[in-house]
Amino acid sequence: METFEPTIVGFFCNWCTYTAADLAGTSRLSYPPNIKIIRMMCTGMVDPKYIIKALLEGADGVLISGCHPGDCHYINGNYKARRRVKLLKTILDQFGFEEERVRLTWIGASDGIQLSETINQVVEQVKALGPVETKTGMVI
Amino acid sequence: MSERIGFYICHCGINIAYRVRVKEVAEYVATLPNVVISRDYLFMCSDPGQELIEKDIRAHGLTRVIVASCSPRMHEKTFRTACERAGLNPYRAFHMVSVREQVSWVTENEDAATQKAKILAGAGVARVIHQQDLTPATFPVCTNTLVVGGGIAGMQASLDIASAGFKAYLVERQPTIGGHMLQYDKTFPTLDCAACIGTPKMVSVGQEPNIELLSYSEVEEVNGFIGNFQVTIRKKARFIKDNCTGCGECEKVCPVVIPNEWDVGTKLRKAVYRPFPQAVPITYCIEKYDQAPCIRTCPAGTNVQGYVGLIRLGRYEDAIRLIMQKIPLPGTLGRICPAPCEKVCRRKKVDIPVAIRELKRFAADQVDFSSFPVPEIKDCPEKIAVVGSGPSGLSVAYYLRLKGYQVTIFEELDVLGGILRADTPDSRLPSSVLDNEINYLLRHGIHVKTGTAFGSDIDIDDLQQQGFSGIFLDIDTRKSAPTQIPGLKLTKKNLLQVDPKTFQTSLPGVFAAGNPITKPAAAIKAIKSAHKAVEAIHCYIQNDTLENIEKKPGKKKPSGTNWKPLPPELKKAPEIPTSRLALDKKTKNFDEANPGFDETEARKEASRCLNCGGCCECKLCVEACEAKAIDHDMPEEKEIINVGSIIVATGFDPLDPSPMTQYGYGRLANVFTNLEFERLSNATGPTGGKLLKRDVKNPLNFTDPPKSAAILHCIGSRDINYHEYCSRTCCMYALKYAHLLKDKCGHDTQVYNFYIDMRCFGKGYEEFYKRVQNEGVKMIRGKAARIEEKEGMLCVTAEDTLSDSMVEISVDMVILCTAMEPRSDIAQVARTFGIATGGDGFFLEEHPKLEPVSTASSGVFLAGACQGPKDIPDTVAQAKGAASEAMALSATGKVSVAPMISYIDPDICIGCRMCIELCPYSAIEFNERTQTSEINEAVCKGCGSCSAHCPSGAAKVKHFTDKQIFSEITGLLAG
Repeated sequence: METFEPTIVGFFCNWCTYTAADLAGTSRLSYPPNIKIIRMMCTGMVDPKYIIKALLEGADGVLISGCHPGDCHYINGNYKARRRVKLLKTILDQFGFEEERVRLTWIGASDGIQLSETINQVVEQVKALGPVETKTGMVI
Repeated sequence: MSERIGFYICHCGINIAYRVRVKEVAEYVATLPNVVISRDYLFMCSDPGQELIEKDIRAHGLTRVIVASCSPRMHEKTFRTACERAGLNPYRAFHMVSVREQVSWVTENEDAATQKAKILAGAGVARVIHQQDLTPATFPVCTNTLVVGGGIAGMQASLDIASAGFKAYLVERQPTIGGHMLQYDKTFPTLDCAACIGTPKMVSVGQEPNIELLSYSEVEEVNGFIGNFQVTIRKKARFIKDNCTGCGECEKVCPVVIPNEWDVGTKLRKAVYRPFPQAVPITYCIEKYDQAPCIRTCPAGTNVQGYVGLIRLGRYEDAIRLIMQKIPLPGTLGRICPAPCEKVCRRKKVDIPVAIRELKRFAADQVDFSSFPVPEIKDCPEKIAVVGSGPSGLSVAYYLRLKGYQVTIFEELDVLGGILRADTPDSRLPSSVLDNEINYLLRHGIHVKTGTAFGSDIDIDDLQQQGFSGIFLDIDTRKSAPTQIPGLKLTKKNLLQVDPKTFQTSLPGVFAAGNPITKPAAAIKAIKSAHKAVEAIHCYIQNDTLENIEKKPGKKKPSGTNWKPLPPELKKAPEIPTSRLALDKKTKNFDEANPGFDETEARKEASRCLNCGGCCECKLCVEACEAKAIDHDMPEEKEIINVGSIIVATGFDPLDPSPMTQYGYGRLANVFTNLEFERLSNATGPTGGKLLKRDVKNPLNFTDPPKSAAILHCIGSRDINYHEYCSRTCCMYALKYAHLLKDKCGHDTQVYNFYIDMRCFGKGYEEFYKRVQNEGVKMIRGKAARIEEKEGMLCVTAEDTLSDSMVEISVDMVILCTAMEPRSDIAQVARTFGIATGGDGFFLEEHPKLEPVSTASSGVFLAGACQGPKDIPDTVAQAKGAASEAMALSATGKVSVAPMISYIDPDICIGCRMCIELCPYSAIEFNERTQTSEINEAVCKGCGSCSAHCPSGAAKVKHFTDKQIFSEITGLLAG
């Protein structure tokens, strides 16, 4: 049987986690290719509908990652992201997605190692959950 | 017009091509909609690579370009410019896909990497067609620069900026500029003294008209953006005005002794101080915290910290004068006071409270009150009668007499003292002590009528007829007489009824305080209310009314608890003098039971005071200052300055080796840190530049030169338990120390260097290493494991890795070459300036090689050791680099800001105003006429707080619109 290879969409903040991804690359830290990163300027601009959209279009998991609390380049965007993700998780179930499919982390610009470890974890976690079973015809 | 997309994938030499089959990706992308050109190329960022794009745009009429190569943080700008050159709007036309950092470098499997590259490229193709024309806005640049930190980096950067004709604000946290470099003695490898090359820089900074020096100040808040920052500076109160001449008279009289931070505690300073003689600015500074707990707890408000300090210095008469400002009977109170001050003494956190009462008594016992000088008093005609001579009566008499009033005490008994004499046994308070102190008070010109009983011999009418304009009663109301005084109201408990604020009784002009108005209480409380009564009587006589006192707010706001931090190295005092315990001894005669301190004990006890308030506000300095420059009420100020660029040059902290117990620092007297050794060797240090051993008994004493010394490299550097990095300077200053020891203590001094590797990389460094080796310094390759005390010597154990053997070497002195660490508050500073710190904890530069002074925040630059350990030449070089970045900005005069900011579509906006609340920059305003929210483009930074929330979808961040993100998501998931 073919092993399940999940697709993870990453929304990474330009100022920290996206930079950490560059650092992970420069440091040649390998991580699974399952993750596909979208560059955002701040986790505070990650509209919850992007996350839903990704899941509805077939992503098996979503990783949102921004600056550590207090380090936001835009003062407090990461706090807004935290609230939005928390709220989103309360309704994910209604779309038929386990809340473990969405994860929010703080990874600073110098945390290349933490980034690769986090990606490994998320991929493992989503593999354990298996493919998304809900195939709705919903479009947003 | 249909879109025509050109796709280019870069080999990046082999960096991408070794893992991603680039041709296959290019072939795949060629099959996607709208793609008309799809190529792979060795180096897209090279000139031919860029020309390839430009040619294709022109030849094939490309409308969009995608480059799949390195991170957009690397070359996005390069390719955008290429597109612009070919006539396309760069934001509309260009999108970059990272297939190096995100694919080839992090993916192990070639198939997987190629597949991922295809998916990312596909998402790019999907996204790029939704991008729109954008034009960066241009703003004028403020040509001022803020330099944070006045060390050698900050000074050099400021001087360079000033010499280019631009203004620099130099903010320094300490009272002087100079930084670590000026704490050092000689500098390697040339051995010129740091002060000789450093102080001229300091002076130039002080004199340069283009530099505004803000010393003893800190940056509190930074607003704005590149070219247009508004910075709030907190100017801490120095309590000394600019007209200070630096004469140092204030320092001489100050009673507060504190370890000098500039000398890393090897030397003491006063609370009013200047870190070192060549300080710039030369202005002194007073270190102040909230009022010490002992002072604010004392009911009479005695300046406890002040007189304890004076006792420490052996200035007993000064101490008594200070006490007598609040307590008229120091020796008496020094015996009978319940000492609430001792209960709050912070020393008890370490061992036991300072014996404040005993010290007060000791000071009083040192003074001969029969010859103690009486101050000159300017007489005034008003007469005051004080009836009774208990603690409140004596206090009122004394303090009113000091104000010049003609005071007469009426006492029923033959002797003065009242309750003090009656209720206290001689074994606790010998009557001679009380007599001497009362006689001293009387010598101020207080008249006494003893044997005059109030009520029978004299009453209020008599006194008023005799011309006493104020009457103070210190009488025992519970005995009998006062009930008969007409008009004098009593409380239910038979106490005199007084106004709680003015202490006036029911009869105008008649006052009472202390025991007559309370139940019998400690003398110190009677003195407290006596002070208030004095104030009221004075006001009553001067103004004929008590309105001012009545209007005064009742309770003062209690001062805060921001006290001087307890020194971390504080240890239990070695011994507590035993005589203070003698109180428990029973005596069989009437002699005083407690013998009190002797002088050594007292001064030792006084030195345990932690000086919680910093300055004790005894104001001796105010009198001493001829220039009248001291202002104890100077407020802290805030100033907002406008700058276009910021240079952060906040330096480093030296590592504290105390936690490494194997090296015994703090426990073994002759284990020094490098900075302590620098101060020792420095002419302004504790020994005037002599290298001497520390006295084992008193760490502030230095004895004789060492005959042998060991220098331990890499303390906290290259050590995974502390810092993995190399601190880059230690090898060289260790060699310098070896040379200085040989030079100053004689060439027979044995010097051992324990090193891991010698890193002498700079210009002239290797030559210096050879020179020091030739001087006979022993080099042992191996990190020292521990230091123990053996037979009065310090025994260093290490593995000599060259001879593969363990060595034990006994020496007189050990110097620990400690690591350079990020400043302890670096995280807070990083937030203030919006910059990041790296894995080593130092500030992160934009690129380790090509942008070593820029940061993630445009317009904020780094200089010196705040970016990583550096020696002086490298620091100066980087400072010049940072200055040139700032000057480039100022010289251009304008800056363009990324156009990725928010936009609210007025046709869609429903005017709910949610975004206005969410915007962290207050960049959104509501237009009442159109009933929609509008973005102020000059203020918006494009964080997307509004767009991610907007319920109607009207708010969008340009270049990150829903369409663009949705297409990218769809693209990512299509493959």
